[in-house]
Amino acid sequence: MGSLSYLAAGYAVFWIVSFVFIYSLVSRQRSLQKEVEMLEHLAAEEADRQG
Amino acid sequence: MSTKTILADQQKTGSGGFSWGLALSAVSGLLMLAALYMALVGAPDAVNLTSPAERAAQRIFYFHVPAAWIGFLAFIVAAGASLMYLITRRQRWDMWALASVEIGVVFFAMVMLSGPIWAKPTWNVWWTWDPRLTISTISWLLYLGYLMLRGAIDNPDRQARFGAVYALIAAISVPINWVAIRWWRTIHPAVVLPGNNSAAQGEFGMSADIRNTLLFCLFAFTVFYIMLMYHRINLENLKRRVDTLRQQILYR
Amino acid sequence: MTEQVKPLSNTATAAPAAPGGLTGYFRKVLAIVRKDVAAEIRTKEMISAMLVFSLLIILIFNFAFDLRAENINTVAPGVLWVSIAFAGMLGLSRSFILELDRGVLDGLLLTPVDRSAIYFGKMIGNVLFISVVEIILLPVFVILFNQPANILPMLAGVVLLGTIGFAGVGTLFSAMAVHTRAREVMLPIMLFPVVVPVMLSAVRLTAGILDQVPFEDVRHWGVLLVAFDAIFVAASFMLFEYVVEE
Repeated sequence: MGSLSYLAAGYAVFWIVSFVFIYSLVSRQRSLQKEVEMLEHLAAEEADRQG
Repeated sequence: MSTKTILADQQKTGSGGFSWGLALSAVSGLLMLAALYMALVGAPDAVNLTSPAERAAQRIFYFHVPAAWIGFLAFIVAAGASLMYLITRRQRWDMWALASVEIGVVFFAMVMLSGPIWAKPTWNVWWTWDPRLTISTISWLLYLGYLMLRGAIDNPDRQARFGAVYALIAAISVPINWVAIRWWRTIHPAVVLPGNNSAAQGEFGMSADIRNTLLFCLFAFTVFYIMLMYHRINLENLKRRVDTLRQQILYR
Repeated sequence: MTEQVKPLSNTATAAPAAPGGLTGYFRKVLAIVRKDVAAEIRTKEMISAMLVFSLLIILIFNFAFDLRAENINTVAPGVLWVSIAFAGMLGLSRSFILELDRGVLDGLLLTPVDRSAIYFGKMIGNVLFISVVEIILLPVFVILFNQPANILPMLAGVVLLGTIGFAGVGTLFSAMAVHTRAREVMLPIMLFPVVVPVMLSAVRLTAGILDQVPFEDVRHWGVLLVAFDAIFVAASFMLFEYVVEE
């Protein structure tokens, strides 16, 4: 391996791991957000129906 | 506690406002870029190192060590939050514990992956049973155990309680593990490490510049941790709100 | 494990309702131990399973590593402790499963004594069961690995300390593991990283005994092992009530 490849690989680790984690946060957020909207909509409907 | 109060409570402790999260992310991102610059360019080459590959790879230390320190910080935060949860039973402490452990897993993964990459050009072995790397691995496994334990329990109250108990035992075990591993390595220094110091990865002599760069990177990583915690806890808040809503709707 | 054993006739609740106090506490602990021992004597399942398992492990090591006379002392301590660790894990995981399945645990929890008594009762029971296996295992070990018989007393001491370390935290963790989805797998995953100091100290001490090293050289490992036992039994004892509250 060239003298800089280890260095590059080493730092790549930090950035890749960070981005994978941040991406998982973002995508979980997105799907939960969608679910919240749907659930709140359902709850409102039900409240209307009962009220 | 009525569903309404639970939801209100969650909303209060949740997102303090869209701009804070964004600001924190921006600041953290900038700091990390600055840290990257300092580590790669700003810091001087270390002395006493032989090959160019080794000199270059040494710079991994500027991110590798702070990652380990923050990993342990995350552990301490998780243990503290767990203790608070057992005492107060307030959900917010459980969320802090869970978030901190998850983030700790991430940081220790960085340590365990960057370690071998640094070790290969420096000591010509991929893995060294160096005390710090070993304790990081064990801590990582302890964290993973926490996440697996929570994942294997359905009841949320039990999840929180058992998680807290486990986190406390795990926290106590880290210092004891550290001592045991330290003694173990001191007695068998030559077995795995070809030649030198198992203890001092800073064998290359810490000049003031090197120390300052390290401290700056540590600061950047701390802000990074805080930013990740902020977002992860918000996420957890959202998740619990969804669970509550789901309960509310399905069990009417 | 599917055999339905009738719970013992109220040994737990028949004790005169001592209003707390130290004697009441000890009586409670002993009652739990006695119940578990009696149940095990009846079936002998757990001990026989642990014993066979531990012997099998030693056998497998024999085939996996070439255990010739010269290097036998280097690997012997490791083999012994891996064997004890895995067999112990087996015993620990079963202790609460049986309770839960027989519904006896709820009965215990209703009695007006500190929950921690349950912890001590179960822990002492676990230590006893694992010790029975070890009493058989150690002479076998000495024979198979060609050790002088006079090491047995010292070895027994180290083994006992190690067992207390395992059972100390193991009892707490198995009480948690029993409520999880993958019960048997969960306990080793939780326990092994925590008991690394026990493994390290026990192996170092055993190696010291086999190599007839002066005690001074390995004394610190003994200190670590005792410290581990004290710290973790205390911690587990304090945290146990949070696990069994329902």
